[in-house]
Amino acid sequence: MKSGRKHIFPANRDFRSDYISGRILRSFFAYTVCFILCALMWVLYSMERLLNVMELDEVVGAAKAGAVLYAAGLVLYLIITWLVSSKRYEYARRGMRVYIAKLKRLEKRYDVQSRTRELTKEGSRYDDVSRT
Amino acid sequence: MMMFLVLKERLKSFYGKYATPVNGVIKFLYSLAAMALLNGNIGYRTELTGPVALLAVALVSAFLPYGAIGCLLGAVMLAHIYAVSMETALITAVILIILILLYYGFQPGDSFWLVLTPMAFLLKIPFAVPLLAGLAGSLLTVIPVGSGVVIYYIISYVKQNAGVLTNDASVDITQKFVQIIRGLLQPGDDGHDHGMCGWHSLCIPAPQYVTGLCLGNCHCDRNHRAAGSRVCGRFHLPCIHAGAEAFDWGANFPGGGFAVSFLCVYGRLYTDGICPV
Repeated sequence: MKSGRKHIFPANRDFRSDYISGRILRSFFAYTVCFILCALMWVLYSMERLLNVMELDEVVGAAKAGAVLYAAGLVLYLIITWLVSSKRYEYARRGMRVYIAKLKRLEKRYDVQSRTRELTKEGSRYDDVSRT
Repeated sequence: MMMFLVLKERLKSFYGKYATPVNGVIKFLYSLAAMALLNGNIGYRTELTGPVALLAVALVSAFLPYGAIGCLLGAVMLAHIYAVSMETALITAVILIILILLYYGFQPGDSFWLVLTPMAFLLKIPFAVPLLAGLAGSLLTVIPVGSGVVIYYIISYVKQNAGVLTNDASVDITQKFVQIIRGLLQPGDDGHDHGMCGWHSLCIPAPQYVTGLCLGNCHCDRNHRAAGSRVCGRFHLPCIHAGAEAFDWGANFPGGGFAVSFLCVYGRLYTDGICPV
C-alpha cells in the first residue's frame, strides 16, 4: 500500500474523466515546451544555412514540416498519456478498494478485541461479586 | 546454501526493522559515488569539488527521493559544464528538460537508472546496467537507461574537449553550436570525437581540406616506421573535406575502400594514433 500511495491517492480525488483530462492537459503543455526547445535547437544548429540561403519557399516548407511533426508527435504523445493515465486510474481504484477492505477488516478486528476486553472485564467483575 | 538462506532471512529482518536509516545510508552512498565520479571526470567548477560540498550534497540527498537526487546531480553536472562552456551547458539543459518533461512527467519511479547508467559507464562496467535492468526493471527501463547513456556521452564529450571548448572565444556562437551538436551527435567509440579520421573533430576548428591522415604520431614523415609495433605512415586522401558533411571517398582514390576500412580499424584500436594533416 505504501508503495502505491503516490498513484492511488491523487487518482481517488477526481472522477475518471477529470483525472485523465488533467493529465492530458499537462502532457500537452509539456510536449509543446519540449517541441519549442527542440525547434530552437534546430534553428541554432542551422542558423548559418538559414541566413545564407534565405529563401521564402524553403522557410515555408520547413514551417509546414515542423507543424506536421508537431501535430503527429502531439497526437502520439497524447494517446500514450491517455493510455497510461486510464490504466493508472483503474489501478488506483482497485488499490483503493483493497485498501478500504483492509481498513474494514482491521476495524472489525479492533471491534472484536475491544468487545472481548469489555466482556472479560465484566466477567471478572461478576466473578468478584459472586465471590463476595 | 543453508548459510546463504539464513543470511538472506537475517538481512530481510534487519531491513524490515531499520528500513528508513538503511534507505538513507544507501542514498547517501549512491549520491556520494555519483558526485565523486562527476568531480573526478568533469570537476571544472572548483567550488563543487571540495570534500565539504561533496558531503553536503550527499547528505542532503540522503533525505530526498531518487527523482530529486537525479535533479540535484543534474544541476551539479550543469554547473560543471557551464564552467567549461555555456553553449554545451545550454544544450545539456535542454536535453535534461525534455527528458524530465516527457518521461518523468509520468512519475515512473525508476529515476535511479538515469544516474546509475553513467556511473557504470564511468566505472568501466557498462554491461552491468542492461544485466541489472533486465533482471530488476521493466521494459520501460530502456528509456532511463538510454538517457543515462546519452548523459554519459555528454560527460565524456566535455571531458575530452574541455580545452577546445574553453578556448574558442573567437569562434562565432552559431558556429560553436553547430560544432557542439555535431560533436555530441557523432562521437567516437568512447565519446571522444576523434572518430575514425577526425572530420567532425574539434581538433579541426573550421571546415578545411584534409590532404591526408597521419598514423603513429602527428609529425611523422611519409612511410616512416615509428618505434614499437604500431603502424606509422601517411595516407594521402585528397577527397576528404573535413568539418563538412560532404566527403567523397572513392572517386579519386584508387583502392580507397580497403584503405578506409583499415584506417577505421586502426582508429578504433589506437584512438590517439591517427590525425588529419
